Amino acid sequence: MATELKVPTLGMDMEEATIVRWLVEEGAEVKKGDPILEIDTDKTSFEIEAPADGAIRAIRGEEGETLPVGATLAYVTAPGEEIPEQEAPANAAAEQEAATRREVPQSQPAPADSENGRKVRASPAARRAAAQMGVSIEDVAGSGPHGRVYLSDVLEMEFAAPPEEPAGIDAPRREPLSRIRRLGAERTARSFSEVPHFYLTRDLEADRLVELVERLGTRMDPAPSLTELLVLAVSRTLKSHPRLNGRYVDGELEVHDDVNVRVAVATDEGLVVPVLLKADALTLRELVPGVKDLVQRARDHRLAPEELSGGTFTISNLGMMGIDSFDAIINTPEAAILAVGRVRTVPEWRNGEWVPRRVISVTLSVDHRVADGADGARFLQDLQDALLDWELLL
Amino acid sequence: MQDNGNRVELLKKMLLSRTFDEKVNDLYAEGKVHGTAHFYVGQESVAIGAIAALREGDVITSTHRGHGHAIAFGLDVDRMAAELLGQATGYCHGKGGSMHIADVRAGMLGANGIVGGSMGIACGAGWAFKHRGQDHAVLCFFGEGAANEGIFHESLNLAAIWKLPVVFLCENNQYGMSMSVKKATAVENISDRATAYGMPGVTVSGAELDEVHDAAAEALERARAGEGPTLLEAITYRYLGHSKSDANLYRTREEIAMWRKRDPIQRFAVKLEEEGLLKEEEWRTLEEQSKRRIEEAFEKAQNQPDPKPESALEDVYA
Amino acid sequence: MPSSASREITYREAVREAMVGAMRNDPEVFLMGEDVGVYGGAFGVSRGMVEEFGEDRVVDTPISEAGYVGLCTGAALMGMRPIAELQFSDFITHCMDQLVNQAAKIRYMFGGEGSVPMVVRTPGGAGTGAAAQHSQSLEAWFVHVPGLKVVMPSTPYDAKGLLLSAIDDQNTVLFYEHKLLYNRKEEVPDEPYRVPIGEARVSREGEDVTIATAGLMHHYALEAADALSGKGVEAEVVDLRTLSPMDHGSIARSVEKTGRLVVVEEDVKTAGWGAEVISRIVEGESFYALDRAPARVAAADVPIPYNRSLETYIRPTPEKVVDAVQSLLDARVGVYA
Repeated sequence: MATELKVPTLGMDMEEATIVRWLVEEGAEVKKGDPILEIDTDKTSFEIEAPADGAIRAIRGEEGETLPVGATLAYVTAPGEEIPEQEAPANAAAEQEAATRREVPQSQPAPADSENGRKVRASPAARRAAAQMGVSIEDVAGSGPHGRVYLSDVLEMEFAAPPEEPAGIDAPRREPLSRIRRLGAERTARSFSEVPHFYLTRDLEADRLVELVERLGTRMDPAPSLTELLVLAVSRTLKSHPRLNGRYVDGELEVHDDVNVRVAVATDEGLVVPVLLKADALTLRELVPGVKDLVQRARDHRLAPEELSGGTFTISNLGMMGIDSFDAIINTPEAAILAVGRVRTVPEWRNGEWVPRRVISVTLSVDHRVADGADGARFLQDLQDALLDWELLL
Repeated sequence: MQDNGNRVELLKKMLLSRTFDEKVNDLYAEGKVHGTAHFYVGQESVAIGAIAALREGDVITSTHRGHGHAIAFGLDVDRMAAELLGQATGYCHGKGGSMHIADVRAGMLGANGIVGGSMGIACGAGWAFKHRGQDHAVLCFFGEGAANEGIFHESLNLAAIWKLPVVFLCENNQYGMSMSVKKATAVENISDRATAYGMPGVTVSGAELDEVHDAAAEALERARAGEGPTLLEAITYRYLGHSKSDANLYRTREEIAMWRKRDPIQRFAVKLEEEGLLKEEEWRTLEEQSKRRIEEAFEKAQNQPDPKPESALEDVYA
Repeated sequence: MPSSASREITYREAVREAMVGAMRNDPEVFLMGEDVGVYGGAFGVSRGMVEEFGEDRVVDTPISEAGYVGLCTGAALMGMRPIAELQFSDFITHCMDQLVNQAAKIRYMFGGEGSVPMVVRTPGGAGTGAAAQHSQSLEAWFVHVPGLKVVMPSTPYDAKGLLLSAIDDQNTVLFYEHKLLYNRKEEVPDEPYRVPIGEARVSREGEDVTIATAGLMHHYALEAADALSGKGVEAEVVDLRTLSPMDHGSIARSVEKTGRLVVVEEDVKTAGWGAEVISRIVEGESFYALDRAPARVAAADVPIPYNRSLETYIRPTPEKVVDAVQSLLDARVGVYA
C-alpha cells in the first residue's frame, strides 16, 4: 500500500496549514527524509519530509492553498504500489477541504482558479471587459455561484480602483511582507479584535532581582539574564494562578497543568515567539541555557515547528531597548501576556529620607473572558513577592 | 403517322439515345464518371414515338431514367454529356447530373430523382396552360413503379376533375428496380386504373414506335381540346440493370434475350426498309454517325471546365 | 411605408387583403386549397374571395395536399404565382416530397435554370385544444431546408407586408400564420406595402436582456417584458418575423447591448429553431458580449396534449418567459428547464 503523506499536526493548537511550495514534482523519486514541500502554519513555515522511499504521486493541493490537518497531500509509492482511489481518508480530507473553502469570507475574492484546479468561470462579456481594462480575470471577485465572474463584477472593480495620485506626489510602492510578519499581522489583528483585553500596570521592586542577576553572573555559565530570571519567577508563580495559564474555549476555561512560557524574540523578519515547555519544572541551570538556545535559534530561523506551538503564557521584554512600559497584545489563544519595561532607579521616601530604588514597570494584558482585574492584581502581587523573596518559589 | 423525312429522323434519335446510354455505361465501367445513372436502352421507341407527337409549346416532365426523353425532346447531347461529367457547361452546370437534366425554357421540365416526383409538376404545367388559355399539352412520363405512389393517384384525380391538358404516359418496363409489376400490382394493366379517375386508359406495345406515337397523338389532341387527361401505358423493357450497380438477380438471361429480339430500334429500321425509306447500307452509316456524334460529345465534355467549387453555394435562391 | 390611410383590421383580414391585392394586380396569382372557396377557408381567411375572383382563381381542392402542392410547384415553375393554403400546418407532412425534394431544390438541381415562386400559407401552433395532429409547430423542419424561405409574422401589419413580399419572391416561401393570431387587430395601411423577408424588428427596447421570438410567441414575450419591467428588468424584444433566412445581425446587435439572450419559440425545444439562434450568437463575435448562458423557452418535447391544463403545462407562456428571464438574472444559473 502506498504511504500517505498528510498535513501533519505540529502542535496542539494547529488546525490547518498553507502550502508554500512543492519542492518535488509529480512522479519524482524521493528517499525517506528528503524535503518534499514547504508549508506555513500560523506560527512558522517548515518543510515536510518524505515518510518513505518511492515516487511522489497524486499530489493534491496547489501552492497557496490552505488545507486542514490530516488532509492528504500526496502518496509515496514503491514500485508496483497502487494509490487508493476513493478511500475514506481521501474523502474525509476532501470534506474538510470543502469546509475550509466555505469559511472563506464572502468579502474576499474567492480564488476561483484554484478550485480543483479549474479555470476561472467567467462570462464571455466579463472576460472581454477584463481584457480591455487590463485586469486579470483571476483577480476579479465573482459574485455568481462557485465564484462565477459576471460583467458587473469586472465593472465594479473598475469603479473601486483608487483615484490616481496627483502629479508631484511619489507613487506609493508596495513590498511584500515577510511570511512571519504576514502571519503576525493576521494573528494580532484577530487577537486585538476578538479578545477583550484589559491592562494592569505596576512597578515591581527589582533591587533583589538585579542583585541576583549580578551575583549569578559571576557564578553561572552561561550567565542568566534578567529575562531568564523573570521567566523562572513567572512560570513558578503561574502554578498558583491557573486562570492566567489557561485558555478561553467556547465559553469554558481550559486549564493546563504545565506552564509553557513563550518568550518574544525580535528577528530581522519580525517577531518570533518560541515556547519553553514545562518551564515551571525546569531548574535554573536547565532553564537558562534553554531560553538562550531558543532565542538564538529564533533569530537564526532555525526553530522546529513544535517549538512554536503549545505556549500558555508569554513574556515580552523591551526593557533592554529603553522602553519604560508598554501594553502587549495577547498571543491567542493564551490568556495573558506580560510586557516588561526597563529597570529604572526611582527615589523612595523611606525612614524620613529619599533613597534610590530600582524598579521594573510591567504591564499584564489579560483576556477578560478568563480572568478579572483582581485575578491579575493578585498574580502581580505574588510575582512581586517572589522577586523580593526567592525562597517563596521553592 | 409522321412524314417520311421525320421517320428517318426518329430512327436517328433512337440510335442517338441508345448510343448515348451505351457510352455512359462504358464510361462508368471504366470509372470515368462519378455518380450514377439509369439507362433507357430498350425503351427508346416510347420517348421518341410519344414526343414526336408533341407540338411547339408543349412540355414534358421526365423521370430518373430520362436520357431518352431529353434526346427525344431535342436537348443537346453535348450539354447532356457535359452534365454527366459534372462540367460547368452542362445543362445544370454540374449541380444536377443524370437525374436532373432539364431545360425549363425549352419545355423540358426536368428529369426527377423521386419516383412519381414530376407528376404534380406536370399537373401544374397543365394548370398554367389551362389558366392562360393556351392550347398546349403536357406529356408526363413515369414508370409503372410510380403508379403505386400516392402522388400518382392525387395527380390523376386532380387532372381529371379539372380537365387538365396532361397525358400521363406510363412506361411499364416490368420492374421497379427488382420488383416485378406482376407482384406489385393486382390489375392487369396500369391503364386499367384510368377508370378510377374518370379518364380513358390505353395500353400499347412500347416496342412499336408508331403505336406509341399514334396513341400519344390522340391523347394529346384530347388534352388540347379541353377534354382532359389520358392514362397511356406503353409495355416496354429495359435491357440494362436498374442502375449501374444492378446485378440483374431478379430476372433471367433468357428473359432479357427474349425482349432484345423484339428490339424497338431494329423493328423500326426494318419497317423503314419495308417502306423504302432506308437502305441497308444507310443503316450502317446511321449507326456510325450516331457513334461519332456521341464520341464527339463526350470528348468535348471532357475538355470543358470544371465548375468553380464556390459555385456550389450559388443558385439555392433566386 | 405609404400610409395615406389606414384602419384597424384583423390579422385574418390583413392576410386576405394581401392576397386580394396581389390577385387584382396579377392574373397569374391564384389561391388553391381545401375549402378556400365558398366556405372561405377553415379559418375564414379567404372568405369572399371566390365571389370576386371565381372558382378558377380561388380553387377548392380535394383533400390532396401532395397533389395540389405539387401542382402549384409545377405552375410556379411555369411562371405562375400560386398561393397554396394548407388547412392546418400539421398536414404539411402529406406534401413533404413536393416541398422538400421538388420545390426547394428545383432551382439548384437545374443549376439556376428555373425557379418556383410559390407561397404555402398555413396556420400553425397550439393553444386551441386541437391536440397532437392539429397544433404542431414544425417550422424548424423547413428552416433546415436550403431553398425554402420561412416567414412567421406576428402582427397584422407584418402579415400583409410579408405576404406581399412572399408572393413577389422568386422562391418558395412557407408563410406561417397562427390560429390565435387571426383575430388580433392593428392599424394597417389600405395601400399595398412590402415588409422585406429576412429582416427582424426590435419591437421593444431594453437594456437588460434580449428576447428573440416570432409569431404568437412575440406577444407572449411582450407580455413578459411588461411584467419584467415592473420588477425592474427591461427586456429588448426582437421579433424575427422571418425564420429563414434568419436575421442574425439584428439579434447580435441586441445581444451586444444586453449581454443576455432568451429565445421564446413555440416549437419543441430539441432541435428547434431557437437552437440555431443561440448557436449563431455563440459561434460568432457576439459570444464575447454574453454575460449569461443563453436560455430557451420552448414547448416540452412531447406531442401537444388535448386537455387545457396539460396543453398549458407544456407550452411556453408569458409567465414561463418571466421565470426564464428572472432565473437568468437573479439565480444567475442561466439554465431554464
